[in-house]
Amino acid sequence: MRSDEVRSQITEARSQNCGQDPAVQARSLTRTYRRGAEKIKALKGIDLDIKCGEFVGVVGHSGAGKTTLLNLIGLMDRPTEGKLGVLGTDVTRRAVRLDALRRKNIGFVFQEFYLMPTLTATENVLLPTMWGKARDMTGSGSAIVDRVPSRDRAKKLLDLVGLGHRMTHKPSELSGGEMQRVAVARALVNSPRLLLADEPTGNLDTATRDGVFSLLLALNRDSGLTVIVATHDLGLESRFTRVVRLEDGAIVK
Amino acid sequence: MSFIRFALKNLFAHKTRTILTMGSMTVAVAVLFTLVSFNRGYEKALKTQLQGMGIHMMVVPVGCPYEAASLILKGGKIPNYLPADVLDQVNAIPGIDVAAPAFMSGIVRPDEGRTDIFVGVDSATLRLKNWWKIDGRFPEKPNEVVLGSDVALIEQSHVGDQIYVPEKDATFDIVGVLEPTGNEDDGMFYIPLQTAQKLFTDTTIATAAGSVTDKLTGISIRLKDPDDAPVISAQLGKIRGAEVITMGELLGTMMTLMGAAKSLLLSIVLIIIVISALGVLNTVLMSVFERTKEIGVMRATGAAQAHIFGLIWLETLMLSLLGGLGGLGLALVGARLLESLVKKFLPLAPRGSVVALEPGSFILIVAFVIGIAVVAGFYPALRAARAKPIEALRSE
Repeated sequence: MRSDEVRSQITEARSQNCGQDPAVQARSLTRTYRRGAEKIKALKGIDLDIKCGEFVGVVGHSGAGKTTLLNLIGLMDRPTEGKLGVLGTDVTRRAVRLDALRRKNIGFVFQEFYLMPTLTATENVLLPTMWGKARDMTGSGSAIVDRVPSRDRAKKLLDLVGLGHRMTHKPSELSGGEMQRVAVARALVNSPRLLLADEPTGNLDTATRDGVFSLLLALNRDSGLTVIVATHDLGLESRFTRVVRLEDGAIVK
Repeated sequence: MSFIRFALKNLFAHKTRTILTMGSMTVAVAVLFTLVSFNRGYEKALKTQLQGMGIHMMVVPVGCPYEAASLILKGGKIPNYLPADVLDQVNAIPGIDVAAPAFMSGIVRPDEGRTDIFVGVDSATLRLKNWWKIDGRFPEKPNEVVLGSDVALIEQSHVGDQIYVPEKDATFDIVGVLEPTGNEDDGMFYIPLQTAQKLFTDTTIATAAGSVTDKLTGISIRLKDPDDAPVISAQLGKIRGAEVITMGELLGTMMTLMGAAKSLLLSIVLIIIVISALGVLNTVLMSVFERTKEIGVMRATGAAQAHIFGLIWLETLMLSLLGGLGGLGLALVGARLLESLVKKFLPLAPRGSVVALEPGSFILIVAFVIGIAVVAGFYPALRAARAKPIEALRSE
């Protein structure tokens, strides 16, 4: 299967699974941390709607609350107050199992790549499949099927990010840009409905940065995948279809 | 990629540390397995040997019967003799099939690293040990001897040869050689009872009334019905100057004596195992601390707490099992070597192997290792599983 077929199946998966639900719906979303006796409000009651298929940039200076927002949308954390709906599920309800929801629906890309140093590129890509059933995009249908993606799938994804020739390389043998591409492939392996990237280009030089950003853009444009990117890089702002600007825990635009 | 493969990769990310931890487990398990096998083997060999003697009980001089019994088995001099009339009293008790008197003494040959055990016997011994096959005949004249099969090999002597005992200035004609019996009998020199009494009686001990050359060191008894042992034992116990030991009691006493040494050894082994379990715990815990960020990534990619707990537990189990299997392998190779070393220092070394490498011991040890892994892995696994994804990712 060629990479464009993978893209078309991502599109199909999106159209079938996204439905009428917004990708993200936040109301009075608040997250407070404690540092000793001090209370720090990282998010101050924000309202936000992101539709399926959007390519959203969450921009702002360091400490503005970008990562906190992404962590909440990515189901890595729970809000202190307010409501948050992700892909049609109210994730503020305690009964919701965030692990399973995250595994099935959300792909994460981090600034520091976070690849497993002992694993090859292929094994890194397949890491999320170890935790349970995946959504298969390689079959004839695109519904969730009881099938764990195979090594073939890792190859197709590595081909998609331009690293088909680096399958057996370990992270120490890859450049920064290549590592981030592997991380993108890993984020896609379970066919997520939402791709979150926290400063994905923060550790990359300008040329590599453009390559990785273009890859995210292409995934959104060609496949319709909802992509939310947190960045403080002002140079990238114009390339998002929509920009959410955060300042001191509140949305200013 | 399978869970097991991933766990193995994690383990061998720090080869030296993993191998050292496995090594400590290997040594602990090897010692434990050898000790368990040795203990079982020794008990079994001793039991087989005592049962093989075809003797239900022994009458020995009053004093310390177990010491006397062990000395007889070992072939040493005993500190007291049985009065001569005891044999008649024993024979008078109904229910006794054979009562074979014996006078046993050893001549230590330090240069050759052995003790020659001379046993004075009469024809009753032939009836008692009716399975004996003698190449030649039983001694009749005072200067005749039958050699145990091992003795014949060591002495390189045959029927018709003569042997000289310089310590007693005595020469014996070899009139028979025992076919191998597989027990202590193979290592003895059998001479007529009167000859043994004359040559070996220690006059400083044999001061009781009667001749100094009619004493006995023991009487071996076979009963017509072994179930009568308690009754006959009680009757024998009434004879003056004599004490009775049944083979069951002898075995029990030997095991009790061994038990103390065994408890001490087991305590030491348990300490070694606790230390190696702590080593495993330390290694896994360090690995968890070092991999906090990786654990955060796993959580971010969808791993539930149970997955992380399972992974860390699996790593502990594999670390312990690999070390444990190495230990079992080492024990299999080293047990025979250890046996040859240990046998030299055993007070009552039975013939044959004293190390029983049984499947039961193997299963017991593997279960033990799994138990250690389960306990040692619990805390690190719990700690790893409880890490909150975003805090784990932020950790340095």
